[in-house]
Amino acid sequence: MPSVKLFPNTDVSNSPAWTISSGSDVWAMLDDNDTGHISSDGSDIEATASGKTCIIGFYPPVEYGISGFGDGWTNSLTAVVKHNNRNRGNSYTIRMSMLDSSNNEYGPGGGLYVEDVTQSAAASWITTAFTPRTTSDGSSAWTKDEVNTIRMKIHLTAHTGGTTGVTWAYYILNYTEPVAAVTDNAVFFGSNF
Amino acid sequence: MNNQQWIDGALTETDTDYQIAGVTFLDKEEEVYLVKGVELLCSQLSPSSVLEFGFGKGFTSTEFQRQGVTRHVILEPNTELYQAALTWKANYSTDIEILNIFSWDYEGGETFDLVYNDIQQFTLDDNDKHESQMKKILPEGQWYAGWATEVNDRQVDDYPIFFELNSKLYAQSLMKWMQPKRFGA
Repeated sequence: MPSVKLFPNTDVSNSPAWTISSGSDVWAMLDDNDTGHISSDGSDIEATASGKTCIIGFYPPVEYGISGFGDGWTNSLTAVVKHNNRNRGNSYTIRMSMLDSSNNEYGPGGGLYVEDVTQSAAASWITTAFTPRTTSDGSSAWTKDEVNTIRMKIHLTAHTGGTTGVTWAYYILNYTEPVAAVTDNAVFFGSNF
Repeated sequence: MNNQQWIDGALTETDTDYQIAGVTFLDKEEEVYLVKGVELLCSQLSPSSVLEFGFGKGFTSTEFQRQGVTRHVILEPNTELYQAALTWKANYSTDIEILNIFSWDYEGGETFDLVYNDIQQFTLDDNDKHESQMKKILPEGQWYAGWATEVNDRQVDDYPIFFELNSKLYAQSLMKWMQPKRFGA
């Protein structure tokens, strides 16, 4: 089953604001891997206190050459966030939420596709792949429109000190292209069946 | 806390941690996995010379000596811990040098098989000052380790050494200075 990374392409909100290391767009800090050594990454968002919250939108699959992407194609969506706090002795918690186009949380009953990662300070970037989600609500397959408009909220819910940074965020879309139905009288390789 | 308070601060010990001027710089539970991390670093790199930032209680310094390091430079800015380091040094016949300075005041001029960074940051500028100085004195590609820390999985950049203790997963950080290696790359 093929997979593709969906990268952010738009800001929905940033309040209380993460500090943007360069420019004015959160998504532009999170749409690619770190720019170098952890001590000199010029493309991340940072915070020195908890509460910072941003919401970003993502490129739809068609932007990655998946033409004809439609309902029933999606096997799973996995949120990935790359983060760090290199101030020894500190810890932090990042809450990732999968949101729809109205900023409602996906998941059974809403709000269950919200996951925390709690991490002690480390000297290197740490990548967290959250739970792959095979449905949007616990039972229904992801629709084309849901995938095309999915958002992500990144919320620093706990922070004991130092600087917490996030340098990359994306969704992994695992999909299967439906096999075209072949009818009895369809022309196939020039022959009638 | 400012840096002068860190220099002058007295060491206190609680049931769970060690503090300078009331600020925790080492949790007691860290000892076992910090030391294990150093053991694994030495097993992998076999360093004979080590530059170590931060003596603290000497747990990692002791392990470096146990692992056979023969040239060992240790920087410890706190006065009380520095004195403790001098006392500790008397137990060894190897080439150990203890300097009572911050890492950003270290001018380099010597090459090491391994740099081990376990500094405690007390202001938000400390990391910037430390790393700015390291960029001046360390060659790119220098083996550079940090402290071991508990992780949820193995998706960590650079060259971490993973190990398990008491059913918990830890990563002993290890990188090549200014030559990042991305997880999965």
